[in-house]
Amino acid sequence: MIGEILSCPDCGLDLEVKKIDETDVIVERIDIESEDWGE
Amino acid sequence: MSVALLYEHLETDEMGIRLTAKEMGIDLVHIPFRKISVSIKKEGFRIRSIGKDYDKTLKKISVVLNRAQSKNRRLYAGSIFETFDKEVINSSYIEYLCFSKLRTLLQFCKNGIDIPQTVFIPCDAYDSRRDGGKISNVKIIADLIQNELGNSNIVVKPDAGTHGMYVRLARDRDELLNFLKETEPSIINPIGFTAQEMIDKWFYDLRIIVYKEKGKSPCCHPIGMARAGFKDFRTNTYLGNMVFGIKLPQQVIDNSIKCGEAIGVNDEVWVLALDAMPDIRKEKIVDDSKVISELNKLTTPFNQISEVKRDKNKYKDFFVWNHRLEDAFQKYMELEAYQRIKEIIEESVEKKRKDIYFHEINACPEFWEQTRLITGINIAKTLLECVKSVDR
Repeated sequence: MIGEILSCPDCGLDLEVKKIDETDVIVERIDIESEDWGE
Repeated sequence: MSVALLYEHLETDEMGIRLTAKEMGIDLVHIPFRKISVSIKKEGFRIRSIGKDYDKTLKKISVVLNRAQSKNRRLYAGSIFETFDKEVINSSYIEYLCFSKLRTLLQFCKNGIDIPQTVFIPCDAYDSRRDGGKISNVKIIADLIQNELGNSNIVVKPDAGTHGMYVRLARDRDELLNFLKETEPSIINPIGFTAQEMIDKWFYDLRIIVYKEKGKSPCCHPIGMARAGFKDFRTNTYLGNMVFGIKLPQQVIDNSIKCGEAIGVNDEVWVLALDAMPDIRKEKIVDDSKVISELNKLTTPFNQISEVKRDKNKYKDFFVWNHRLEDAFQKYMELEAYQRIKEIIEESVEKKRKDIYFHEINACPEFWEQTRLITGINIAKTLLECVKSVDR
């Protein structure tokens, strides 16, 4: 359903379901971050 | 030889490494490091995601480029892969040193490198009593810090923070007490407090890339990146400061290499990003008003760069987005105001080459979106040349 969070089974990338129609499910990657990310 | 690129999230740095590897003819495989299981037994280890077993991948790799975004994950990743005889760049020991500002500064200090005076208090603001309640250590911590650093302009920073987050300037005791009261142990500051004297760096600091290939002497890229602005005493680009490509004086290059060696210790390969700042001591070469006037002329073009950087299409069409970013940077760097600020900073760095303080080093720097374009140096190429050197 719209808003559902999925993970790529191969690499674990987080995706959010943005749109569902008859033939496609459109997902977008979710940008996540944590306090200890980045340099 | 296959090289593994390990990361949690594919960001532009990792996309840039993949693009560069393709240009260099290097076979790069991906190892995710978040929603996976790492299973260890006497016989060895296994990495699996829900949908994939990475066993075959692991067998064919000998080098891991560790680009996990989380400092803690990078540490674990390094330990795991090194245990099973993979060469990891950067090594887990380097990651361990760079993880902590204090550990970095200890190494710099031990090797005779100029650092800001730093005070570490291994005590948290509050402790829990066994019989219930808490005690406050705030006052005594403030006393200990001020006994060393004086009563004004003290920088308090989390030991493992990034992007300038939670770095705060206490102008007086009241502000210091407030910062101490607000701070609890966390993933980026597990214990106590790290405080430093405030260095009058004027309006800029420097990001310098140092590296070592196996079998060769350590090097420093001759162009550094100055991060400049008057909005905040923190000059992190994450906070919106502008960037300039700066030719480094030889003395700064030599000292930067010394910093790399202090952290690299006995490792044969490393790529590190140093943060350094001049101690201007009121020796500004022009008035602030002149600098501010030139910086203001760059606000719009630099905002255009920022807009390109924020475009989410970079993940869908990296190649096109990359060209847009390169164009935006080129326009920015061609401006007269850019050249004038660049010259001011270069003259200032040359004048203060003996008064440059090194205060932080980064083992997994972001580089694709700014450092690469402003210095003209593709750090992805540096990383991959270091990888190739391991296999010679």
